[in-house]
Amino acid sequence: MKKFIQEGILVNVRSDGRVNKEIRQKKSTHGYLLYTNGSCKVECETIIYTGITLELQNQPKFSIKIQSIKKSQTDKQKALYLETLLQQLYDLDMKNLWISEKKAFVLNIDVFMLAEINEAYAELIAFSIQNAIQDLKFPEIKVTQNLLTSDEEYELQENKFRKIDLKIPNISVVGQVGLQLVKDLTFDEFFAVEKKYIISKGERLQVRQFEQIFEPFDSDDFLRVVQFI
Amino acid sequence: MQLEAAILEEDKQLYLPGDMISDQAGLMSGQNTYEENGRIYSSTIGTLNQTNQLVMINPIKHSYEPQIGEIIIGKVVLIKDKKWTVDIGSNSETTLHLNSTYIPEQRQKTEDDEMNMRLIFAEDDYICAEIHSINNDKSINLHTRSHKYGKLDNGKFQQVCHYLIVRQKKHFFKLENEVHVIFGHNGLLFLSNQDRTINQVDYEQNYTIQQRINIGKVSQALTFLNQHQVLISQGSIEKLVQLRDQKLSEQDCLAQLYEFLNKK
Repeated sequence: MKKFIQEGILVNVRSDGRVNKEIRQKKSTHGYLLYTNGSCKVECETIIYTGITLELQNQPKFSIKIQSIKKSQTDKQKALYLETLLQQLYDLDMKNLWISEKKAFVLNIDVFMLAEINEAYAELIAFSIQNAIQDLKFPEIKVTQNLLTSDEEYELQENKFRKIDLKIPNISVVGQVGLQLVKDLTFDEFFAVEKKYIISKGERLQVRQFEQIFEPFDSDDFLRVVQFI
Repeated sequence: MQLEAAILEEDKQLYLPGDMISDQAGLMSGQNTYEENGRIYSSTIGTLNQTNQLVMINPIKHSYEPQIGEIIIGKVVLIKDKKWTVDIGSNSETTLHLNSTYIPEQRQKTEDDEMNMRLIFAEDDYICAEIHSINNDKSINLHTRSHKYGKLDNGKFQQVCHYLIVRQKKHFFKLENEVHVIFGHNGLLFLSNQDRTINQVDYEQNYTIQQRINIGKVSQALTFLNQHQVLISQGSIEKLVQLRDQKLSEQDCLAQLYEFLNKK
């Protein structure tokens, strides 16, 4: 099967009939989950649910947690790898998350998949997180000072929302077979291509090779990938 | 969905888990039912199937349950004790014994064959086989004693819901656009340019661009049929490929496809 996929990519006819630059249609439904501040359901090769809940803490941050309905022996390591990778690529500007000098919003992003956790689904998970963040509504919080204790007090304003512009980078995965590059890899294609790159395109452009995220790679390949995207 | 329409057409009542099926005395509770205080209840979503005194529920969606004689496509996961363990998407353990494989010279298997099992089928290889027998402990024995069966390579595998595969007399087809399809009863299909009904040592390995485009069209048609829960057969695939070539909208495609399938 690997040979069939690789030869197809080289002649620009993939196994599912797409050309190398073509992206699959992904169905996304915003606001799917109740009791979240932002959520999304993405249906493509598998179904991924993403929910974002907000908290107030002393420092702004965001955390990603990935879980799956299908358990395997390696799912914990794979989940940890994907969570770390995505957190590094999501270089979010946190200064907009402060609501006062002492408190800021913390984003808890929970991703739930109906397939086994695998790095092949990295782009789909990133797409799901991006859509959930687009659906995110920050509640309006009134900050007052307690005159007796001089502590800050926070009051949630019902049905009022604060507009916070979170610039989310677009994360995609590109595969390479020979000199041909291919976008939006299916599960089988992910394991058939010779090299895989994960790209974060936001205020900064980050390009990393899968499984070698801490090592630099060939400059010709880098230029080819930048031109391709 | 075609399945829903089929249930409504046959005027069958749909039972949900916990629905009472009957409180008559003398009835026995069968598969997917349970008895409580003399009444029989359904334990899954499905339709009633009663044979004399035995009451069962046929579930709508369920994991693949193999039957003897069915053709499956599976992935080899383990080689041990003269057997290959194959994953066919079923809950039962599925094995292929060395003596059940096809060797053209029709000879007995020797110790050399046992040492070289990996040369026949290695781990992560996909194979096409027939279900030979089901043991008392529900484990399944496969066989590949025909030139049609064996290792599948250099083609496209497509996974669909197994209950959408229509039971037919044969499962090796050549479609109108020259794509050869093997329908696995377990929901895995193999698309290629290889005619496995002919006894060949080596199957065609090189694909032309048009063959690849045709395989892509069939793959997209299968994805569409699976997404809309339409029964998958040679006729439905060929008709859908024709409709998609006309660049109709999704709704028009579905409507014309249902019309075609109802006429059949």
